[in-house]
Amino acid sequence: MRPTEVGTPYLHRTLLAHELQALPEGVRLSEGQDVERQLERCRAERPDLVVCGLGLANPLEAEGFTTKWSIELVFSPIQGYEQAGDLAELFARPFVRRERISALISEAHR
Amino acid sequence: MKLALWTYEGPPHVGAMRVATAMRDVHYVLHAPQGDTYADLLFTMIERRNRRPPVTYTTFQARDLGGDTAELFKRAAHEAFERFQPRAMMVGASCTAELIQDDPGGLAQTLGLPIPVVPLELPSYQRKENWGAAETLLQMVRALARPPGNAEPAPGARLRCNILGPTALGFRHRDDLIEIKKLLEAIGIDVNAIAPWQASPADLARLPEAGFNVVLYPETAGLAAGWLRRQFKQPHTHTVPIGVQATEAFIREVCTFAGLEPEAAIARCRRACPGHSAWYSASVDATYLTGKRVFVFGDATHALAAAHYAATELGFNVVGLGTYSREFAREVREAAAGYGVEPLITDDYLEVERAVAALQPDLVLGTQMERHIAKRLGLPCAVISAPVHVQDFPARHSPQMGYEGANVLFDTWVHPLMMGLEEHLLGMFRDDFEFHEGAAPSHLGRSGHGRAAAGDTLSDASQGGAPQTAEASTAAPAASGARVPATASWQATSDTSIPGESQAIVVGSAPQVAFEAREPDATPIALADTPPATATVRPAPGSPQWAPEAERELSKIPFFVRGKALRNTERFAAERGVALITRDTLYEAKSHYGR
Repeated sequence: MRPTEVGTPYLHRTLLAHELQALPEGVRLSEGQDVERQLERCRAERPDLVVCGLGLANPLEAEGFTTKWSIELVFSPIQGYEQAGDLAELFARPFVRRERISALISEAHR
Repeated sequence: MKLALWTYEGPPHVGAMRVATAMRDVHYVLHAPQGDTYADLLFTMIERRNRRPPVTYTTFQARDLGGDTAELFKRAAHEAFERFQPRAMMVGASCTAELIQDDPGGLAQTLGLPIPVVPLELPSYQRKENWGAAETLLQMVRALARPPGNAEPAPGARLRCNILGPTALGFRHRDDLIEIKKLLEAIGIDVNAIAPWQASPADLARLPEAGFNVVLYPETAGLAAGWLRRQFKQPHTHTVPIGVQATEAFIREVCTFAGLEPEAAIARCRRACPGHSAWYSASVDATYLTGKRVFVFGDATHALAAAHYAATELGFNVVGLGTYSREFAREVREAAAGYGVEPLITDDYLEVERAVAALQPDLVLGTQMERHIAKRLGLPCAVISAPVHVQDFPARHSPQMGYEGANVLFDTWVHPLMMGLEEHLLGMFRDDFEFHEGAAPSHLGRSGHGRAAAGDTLSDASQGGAPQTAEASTAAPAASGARVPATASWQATSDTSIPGESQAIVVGSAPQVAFEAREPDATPIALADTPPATATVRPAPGSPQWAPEAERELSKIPFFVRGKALRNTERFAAERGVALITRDTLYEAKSHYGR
């Protein structure tokens, strides 16, 4: 996967120094929360997947985006090699679901 | 200050959001820190709304507090206007932002926006969500309602009404509105405007053109309706049409305002919206509902309506009535006095839990929190009121109001109770070789596994279809702990049908254990959280012991008199110094008390 933007309410650059280094070149970082501007960038970018909070998930799905709740990454054990498969599955699940109910999706968005 | 894990109502700015989100072409600029943006998901997740609420949060952070948060607010309001082009704007502060005293209302006036800007003063530390919604609707109506052109009401105004109250995140507001519109159409009344549900500022401007107001939810519409009555002499309805009788009282009230003949209007409404609940309740099948003890708690509107419907249309006994709506405490106190119960006015769910536990009702009607409480206590429950849960937005039409609403109430409240005949028959056939607690349901066929607790030996028995081997019947108690499995032999079944040892039961704990352990499994079609009817039977410590055959005989007595039979028999035995209750003691006691 290629991340396009990583946003967070508060970014502690010292604590997250290693993570920041691991991000590929050219990823946009956004701190704080101007949600409307963030949504504008998201609509312009049209990513294949949006990892977002519960408040935005349904509105984005209704606009045709595929979403993953960020809170699942907090609550699921995804650390270490053993959980790597589960972590990948978390990202795959919304695509699998979309495919399964694809016949309904155009109906739901009417 | 009181710390709580959970509350029935949010802060008042959530009430303002419920009004803003219900409306069209308005925007709410909320001075609030980042964390307060969680409120979005109440609407997009619980109600599954497909767009964000029309709310801009200023989302100030700790580091902004040293700077100019007032400037931040003005910039946010200006940008929100540019981006969303609303026809009216609401401005205010969340509970957290209230503390920095930036005066959003005053700041917004200085922006010189070309639309009405309505400042909301919502004291977060004294008031709560429903009041916040009511106050917001009132301020919006005050700011936007235009006096009608003529001093004289327009011709036909009497036959035109507004519907006030439905908001976003309301308990079945969407569906109630459909029913109310159907009723008004059948009566012959036009709807002038609905507020705040899908109302634009222009709709609020037209409110004074109606002859009267229909108030669906006093919690959210009461303040605005009172102001419209004083300002424009518009009367408003007081009856909340939940239940058949209240629906018809509502139709009469509307007809009085409109100058129509009520009985003909009721007949038209009954044709337009067929109701079954009145006949179902009158049918003999509903006899078992008589006197069921019901505990009611919710917002005042729904709690009062539920108590009335329960008492007068289902024949229940209201044994508890309460509300978290402090604004309507007086009405609830009066109603509670009418039912002869102590009113419970509280926003502390632990207090509610204590009341339910003490009363041990047959049915709990409450909010989602009472559903949890009832589940913990093993009591049947139906949800009647906000605070809403994702389950309170069913995909199907499920109103509370009007004739269809009464149908919904009947089904929703009666289904958690096990039907009288059903429970009686299940009890009677409990020890039958086909229907004992371990038998796999016949409709599951040979491969059917019984209930999980029954263990493997039982499904083996049902697969074999032959009498169970002695080995299985003796091995199983060890495998499944205290639960003694069934065997295909009638004799063996009846000898071991009581869990635990087949010795004389130690009265005081064992019969109770027996009932509690057995009954849920003996009723395969009951809901998982339906309690055994005899769970409340608690033989007093030190009372006589029951012989197994007497115990078995007792279990054949219909559940609704079993508790009484148990107490009478024990009293009879205790009075006569009988240490072991036999089958004969049971029948002697029966004839003694029957005299």
